[in-house]
Amino acid sequence: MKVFRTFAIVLLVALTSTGVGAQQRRPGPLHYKKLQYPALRPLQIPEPFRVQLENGLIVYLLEDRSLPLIGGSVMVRTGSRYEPADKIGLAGIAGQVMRTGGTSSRTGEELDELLESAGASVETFIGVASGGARLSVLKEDIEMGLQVLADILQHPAFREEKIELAKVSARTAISRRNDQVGSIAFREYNRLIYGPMHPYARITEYATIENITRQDLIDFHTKYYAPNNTILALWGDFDVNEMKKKVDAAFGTWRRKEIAIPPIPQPRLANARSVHFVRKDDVNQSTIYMGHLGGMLNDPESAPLNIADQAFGGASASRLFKRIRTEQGLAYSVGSFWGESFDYPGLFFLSGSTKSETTVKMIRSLLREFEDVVTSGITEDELKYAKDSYLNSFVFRYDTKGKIINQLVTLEYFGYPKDFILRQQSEVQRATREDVKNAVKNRWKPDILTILVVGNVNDFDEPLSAFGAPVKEIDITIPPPPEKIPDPTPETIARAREILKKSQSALGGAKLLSVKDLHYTAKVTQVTPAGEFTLDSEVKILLPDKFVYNMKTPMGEMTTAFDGAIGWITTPRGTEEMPSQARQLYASQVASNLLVALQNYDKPEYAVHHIGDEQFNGTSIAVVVMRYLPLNHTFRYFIDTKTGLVVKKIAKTMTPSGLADVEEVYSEYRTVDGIHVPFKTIVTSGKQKVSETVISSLKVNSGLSRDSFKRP
Amino acid sequence: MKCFPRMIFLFLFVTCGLFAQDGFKAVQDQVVEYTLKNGLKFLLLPRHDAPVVSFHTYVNVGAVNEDRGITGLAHIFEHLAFKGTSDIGTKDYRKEKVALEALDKAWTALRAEEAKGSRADTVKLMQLRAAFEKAQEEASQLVENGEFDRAIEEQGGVGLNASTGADATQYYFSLPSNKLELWFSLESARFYDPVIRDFYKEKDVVMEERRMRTESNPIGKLVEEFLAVAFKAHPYRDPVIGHMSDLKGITREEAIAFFKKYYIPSNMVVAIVGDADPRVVVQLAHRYFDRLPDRPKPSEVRTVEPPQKSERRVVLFEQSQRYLLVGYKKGSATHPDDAVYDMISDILSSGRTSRLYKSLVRDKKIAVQASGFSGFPGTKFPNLFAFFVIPAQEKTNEECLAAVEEEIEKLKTERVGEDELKRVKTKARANLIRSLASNAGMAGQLTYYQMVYGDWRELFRSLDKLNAVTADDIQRVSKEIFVNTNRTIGMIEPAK
Repeated sequence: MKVFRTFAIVLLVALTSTGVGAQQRRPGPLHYKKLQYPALRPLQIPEPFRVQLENGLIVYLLEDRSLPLIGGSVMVRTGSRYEPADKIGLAGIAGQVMRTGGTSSRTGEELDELLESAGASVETFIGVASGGARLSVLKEDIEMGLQVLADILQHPAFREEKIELAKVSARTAISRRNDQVGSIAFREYNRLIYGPMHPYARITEYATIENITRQDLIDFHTKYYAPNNTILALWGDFDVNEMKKKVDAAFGTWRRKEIAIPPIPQPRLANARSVHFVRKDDVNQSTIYMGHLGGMLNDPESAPLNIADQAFGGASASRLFKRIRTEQGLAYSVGSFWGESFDYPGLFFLSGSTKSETTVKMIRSLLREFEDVVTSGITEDELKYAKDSYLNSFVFRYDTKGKIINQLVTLEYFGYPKDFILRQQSEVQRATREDVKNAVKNRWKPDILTILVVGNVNDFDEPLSAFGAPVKEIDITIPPPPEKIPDPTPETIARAREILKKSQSALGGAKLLSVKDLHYTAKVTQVTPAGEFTLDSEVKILLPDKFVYNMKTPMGEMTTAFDGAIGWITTPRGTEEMPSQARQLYASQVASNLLVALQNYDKPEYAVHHIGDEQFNGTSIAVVVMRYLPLNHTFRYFIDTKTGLVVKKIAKTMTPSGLADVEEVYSEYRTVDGIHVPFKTIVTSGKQKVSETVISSLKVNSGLSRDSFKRP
Repeated sequence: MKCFPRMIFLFLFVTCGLFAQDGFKAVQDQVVEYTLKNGLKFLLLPRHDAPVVSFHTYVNVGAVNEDRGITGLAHIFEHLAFKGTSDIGTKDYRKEKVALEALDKAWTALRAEEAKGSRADTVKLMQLRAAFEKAQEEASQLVENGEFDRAIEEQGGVGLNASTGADATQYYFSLPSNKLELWFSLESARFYDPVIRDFYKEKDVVMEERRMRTESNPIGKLVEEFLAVAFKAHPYRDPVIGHMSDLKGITREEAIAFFKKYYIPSNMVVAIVGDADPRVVVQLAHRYFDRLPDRPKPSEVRTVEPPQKSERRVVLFEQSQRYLLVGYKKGSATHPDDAVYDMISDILSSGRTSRLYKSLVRDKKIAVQASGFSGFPGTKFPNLFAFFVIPAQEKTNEECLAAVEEEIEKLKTERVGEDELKRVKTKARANLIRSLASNAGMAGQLTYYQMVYGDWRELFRSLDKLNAVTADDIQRVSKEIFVNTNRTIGMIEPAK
């Protein structure tokens, strides 16, 4: 031992270059402020090999011989932001079932066995703004791994039983979404900032999950998965040239195709402060979020804003942490988050949790700190702390080959320059206290904060109206799953036709069938959060599918029209064509219109069946399900079995708060020119009255010409 | 000292790739073990791929070491370990020391009056509270708030955190490798000369943490109630976060005594993984950690959980969907069947080929998550083999329990097939290789195996032990532990 020790010391003296002395004259420990550090050895950032295959697939390769492993990642230009609003959850389920549902040549279970027997994994997913896959294999299994990956991306089979499995998981997630305070708070804050139906905030509902079919998954995959819409990265224990050949073999035959990426509306910044809460009686701590839209990564003010965020609430020696946690003991979790995304504004918020009895006190503290940083910016010392933290930890962005290559893939995917991270670094280096002050003044807005509290309202120290009225309660009750409609049988189909036939004659019989056009004026009362407004309207309908709906509003006339193929909206500001989703919506409304449906229920476009009778005010009401096949639009008619009059229609429709059952109650039937129609319609959605329409005059077959239904 | 030969080996041969033919052997050969005279052990795995280095300090003290009345103290101390020393985190320690003593006095007086309950004098109580708050304000004026964290963050430290469990308290972060000495300076200072400041406010912070993790969280509540029933004597029964009354009552003096008793060099182990030169590490270890005084090892936990005689059941009615937690008593990490427990866990829970996934999630579709794992709530002492199930929408805890029992029955009555064993073993090997990729992860693993198994090499031996497990072992152990009178069932049912 002794000998070894001496030997070691000799070596230490000879080889030490960092200035740390030898053991004999061991100096005492130093206070951290007295330490002097050698320069960090220069960061060697290897340049991955990049190639584009003939089919358009972009491939990045990077050798990493440290372990006998190979990692891979795939980015596909798609995302849940592109899924239709009545099928929320489609992208997520597609991303899952691509892998679990197997491929045309192997079931999901066969893939599980094959991969796991080699200790390997290939997983797929679709997120908000991209889709993709991850691969991890021992190097000797790379051919199998690549082959599986290529197969899944190109030929997913979307087997039904795995779609159902994914749906069970999606429904379960919906049923559990109000169990944890933290997830309620984040979800509702997100919805408040982007808008509840915006693609960055909308959430799955039982109804949207039920709407998703296998064909939807196939279509979604077909629309976006192509080599020219994909980037593949591989890193690990391989030779680049050999790997290039393997990639060619696995992906070379994938066929390119035209890809169209739909535009996404950009979210807008709020224009006033608002206060919201969610009641949760079983907790003793409130979760608080307050903020507004954040920014984008390529924002010119990104560097100073990130510095401000780090100093203000983004780190454990930040202002919020020190003042609210350490000095006041008000919270365990508290901080700020300046969120930035690549191609849309992220979220900005201050957040924290505190016991119910200090809820308002905590919000006041947060507000005070926020107003203070917006007015005065940060100190020179805080600037130094934030910049040093960022710059000195910079090396951790490049400390593994996986990070290096995936960073480049992501930058390319979003069309950012490949030296973006280095540019960011130099911007942080350059930023001054003045820059930070200006950026914060420009972008952090105390007067448009959205404030949200989830907690036990009864125990708050003061009412939330301390922060401005009105204080709005958010109802997080989960909309129940749509009722299960029984399958049609020959008997129920026959019964439905019988009832509808009776209805047809009750509304005019032959006269009804001879209706070609309608022209009426009506008073429409709309119920909005700001109160009720009654407007005059004029409606022209040319059966079966054309209409012009004109409304006189305080802002001028507004016309919504549909010519059977396209729709448009004319306001004093001009005419705009309807987006395709709105067009679909109007087309399905036309198909379920009382006159249209009763004229045409026995045509092949409609499938009808009777699902039962309900008692209402002593009369028996038959419930008939009708489906308009070209649009797969299902709605229910409630028909008085004695009189044959339709008393109600329920159809699933897009509303401002998402897909919901909308109910139309018909009354005040009157006869005009031999046809018998309801003069009053009350529309409700989710137990809330939406509008009431009362017809003042009606003309039948007044000879409306096709020209009145042309786009101006 | 026993590792000098290995160090010299390192000096003479510049090592090539981390993974040679026998990869794990090559990694093991690069680990340098070095123990100071005071008993503090350092484990170093040099890797120079990137100029970064990770540190992990594992202290062999956890909630199990708390006596009645001080539950939560191990965790509170973990928070306090970020408050600094007599020359970090203070504006003027001489004045601060006086202020802290005055503050303790004010608090003791206030507590004494409060303890009278309904017989307390309300006027006096108000005066004492005001006096306490004034003393607290005076003390906090002298604090240089956040200095310890900032010292690390501004030098580029990342992943700065700590955790407290039933068995251990762990402190960790990573630095750019040129700042190696910073870790030595700060880590040795905080365990040589900790100053417990902001004590009463930090207890408020911990109470907020308790509200967040337990009182306002259904799963947190379930775990706390479950453990209180599953263990009737061993301290695994008490929550790591502590009981609210104890959090309120714990004194600064108790915190200092706890530190002195358990934070001793021979009760700690450090791992450093990354771009660090073993010669420099050894020098710095002496320079900074030699000063930690060697004290006798604290006595081990005396209480042994008596054998369970009856099935136990705890049902919570919450504003939450259902959850199911089932635990069977089993041996500790050092039990000869340790690898068998792990093997059973992998068979039941690892990946899409695992039995619980296939049965409960994929085929029966009665759960969205189902797993069985060894080592709850800790591993150092006899603990639980636990099953955790999240039932699917509208499915019940009872049908999930029946399906779990079905899988347990299969383990007891049918031999596991060779293919399945082979697959699980292959996966375990691949996962061990993957775990080598992370500096921070490796540092944590090395300290864990060193402290719990007495030798970091167990990390690699665990694979050999797993490979030696046979179908008979699995059947034997399953029959032994999966017995109804040896289990506790916990569930959440939705409140009506």
